[in-house]
Amino acid sequence: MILIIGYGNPLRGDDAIGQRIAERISRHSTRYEVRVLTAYQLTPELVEPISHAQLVVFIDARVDQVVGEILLETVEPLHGAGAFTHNVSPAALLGAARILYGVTPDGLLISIAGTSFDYSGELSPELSLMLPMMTKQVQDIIDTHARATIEKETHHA
Amino acid sequence: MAQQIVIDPVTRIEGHAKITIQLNDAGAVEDAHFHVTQLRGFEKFCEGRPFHEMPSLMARICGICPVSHLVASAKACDALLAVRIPPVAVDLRRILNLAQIAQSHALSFFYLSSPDLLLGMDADPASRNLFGVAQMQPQLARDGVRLRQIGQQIIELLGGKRIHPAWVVPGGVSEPLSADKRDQILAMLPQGVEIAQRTLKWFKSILPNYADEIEAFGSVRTLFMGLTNGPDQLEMYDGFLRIIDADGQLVADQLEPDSYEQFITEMVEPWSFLKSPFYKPFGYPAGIFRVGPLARLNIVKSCGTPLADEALVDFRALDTQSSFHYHYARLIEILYCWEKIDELLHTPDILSDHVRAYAQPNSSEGVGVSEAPRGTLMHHYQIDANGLITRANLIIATGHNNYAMDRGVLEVAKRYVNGAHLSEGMLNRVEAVIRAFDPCLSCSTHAIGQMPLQIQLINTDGQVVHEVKR
Repeated sequence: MILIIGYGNPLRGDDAIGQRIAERISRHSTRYEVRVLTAYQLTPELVEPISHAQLVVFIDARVDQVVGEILLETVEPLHGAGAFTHNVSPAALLGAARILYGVTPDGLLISIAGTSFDYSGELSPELSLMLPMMTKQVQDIIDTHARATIEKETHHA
Repeated sequence: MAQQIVIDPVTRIEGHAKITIQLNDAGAVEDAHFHVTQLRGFEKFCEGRPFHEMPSLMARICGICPVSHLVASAKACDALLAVRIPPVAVDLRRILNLAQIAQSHALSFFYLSSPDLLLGMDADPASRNLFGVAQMQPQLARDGVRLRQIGQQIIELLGGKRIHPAWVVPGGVSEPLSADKRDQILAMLPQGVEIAQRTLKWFKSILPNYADEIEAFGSVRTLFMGLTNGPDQLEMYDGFLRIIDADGQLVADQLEPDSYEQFITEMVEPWSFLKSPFYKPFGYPAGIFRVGPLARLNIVKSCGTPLADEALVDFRALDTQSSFHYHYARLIEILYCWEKIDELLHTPDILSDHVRAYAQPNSSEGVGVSEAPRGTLMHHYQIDANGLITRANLIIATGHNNYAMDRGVLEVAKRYVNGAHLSEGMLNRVEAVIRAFDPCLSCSTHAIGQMPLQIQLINTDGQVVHEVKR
């Protein structure tokens, strides 16, 4: 199962981009078994659905210069100490999945540069305009990595 | 030379606070205070808003317990409409509130306090967190995650979303419960009960390790207040207020929540933005009371559900004056919440379509009182002829406990803090007494786990003579 977690505060302008893209993806059919979750922020409870996934894709906003730029990072499980209350990092969640459930799904963080994080229920005009294109890009990235993950698991099996 | 220790911010609580400890010339603790350093201003900025917006506005006070504010606010709006809402709507609101209480208690016990309880008050702060718990006892951490999840899923099933659901409205709820959702909720409850019982068993086994803290946390004696009902059972949504004294004797009973201003007033202390309510007839500070799980269990005869009542027997054998036992009471209440939800979901008309009463405002004033995870929550609104809010008064559960927390800090500091040598463990115990109350300083946007702890020993000239950071 591919788990997509889009997160951010929908009342803080472009911070909502992760949720918005995840919602759009959830409306598309894919060739893989996909579960889409949206959240204001990452919380420890997410570790349970993460434990059922082969690949976890976190989609978040970031503050950066080139609006709409998409960055891709591999997430490695965080081991040892770390803040783990009701605001956690993708790496801490993967680390917790290993400790609590003995599984380590692949992790991917897709971050999108926003321009306005002020109080607003809307994305900035720039990101709004780019939303369909960015959704397609994110979907392509997920498809590529999902294929690789599934193939890797099939190979190991 | 007199000195001062400052713990700023207090960690593993909801929101921002700091603790100051005053030492005398001999290095002994002379005084201490719990300071709430944030100001929200909800009472002022909702003035002029239409009353029907209040439940949604008030839910934004908190990201941890929005449902509690939603319920109390909707009850105040029911009073403005002067309607009696359909009984099924009451039951559905009750279920939502119980799920909220259970998931909030799970957050407090498992995420915020279990690191102290499992790893010890003196453990390395770098691992004294849920991650450390997960490494030492994964089942305990898994149980915490699952309990939170069950509560959140029930809220999401009923309210449409986990945070800030808008399903509770003036006059009832906006949609009836479907059979499918009822069955989904019912299917989750046995696991919730199983986890609550397992955790209670574990907690009872570690209690002897904390005999000293139990005694220290119990040295502040206050009144207790909470809602209760006709059969004298635990009540989270409606009923009358009861106040008992530190010896368990009845002080006041059958108090109408709507008339709270006749018997409760608030004191403002210069060191905190949080006011201290007290029972008027006893004055201040003799009229100070505690609310929340410990108070609720202390004021009633029984919980009213079989397993929680069984657990209550052992609880009663303890000195339930000690604020340390807030943890214990919280676990019993989690058990109660799952049992009560199950009971409510089996009422014959729970799927009824009749879940909302419609009316225009019929009263210029409305009070809504219910039990939130941390205690009795009061919303009081006044409106003009156009239904616009002219005054709002909110007495939040954490506020009721303010003075007890403040004095608790002093007593625990006196017992553990040695001005000549600061240790992290002694200061953690000072924080732990605050955590036992699970104060919610209403700050859903803060990354509490990332906040640093800084303790400074400052002399009367303002010079830092000793500092501990983490």
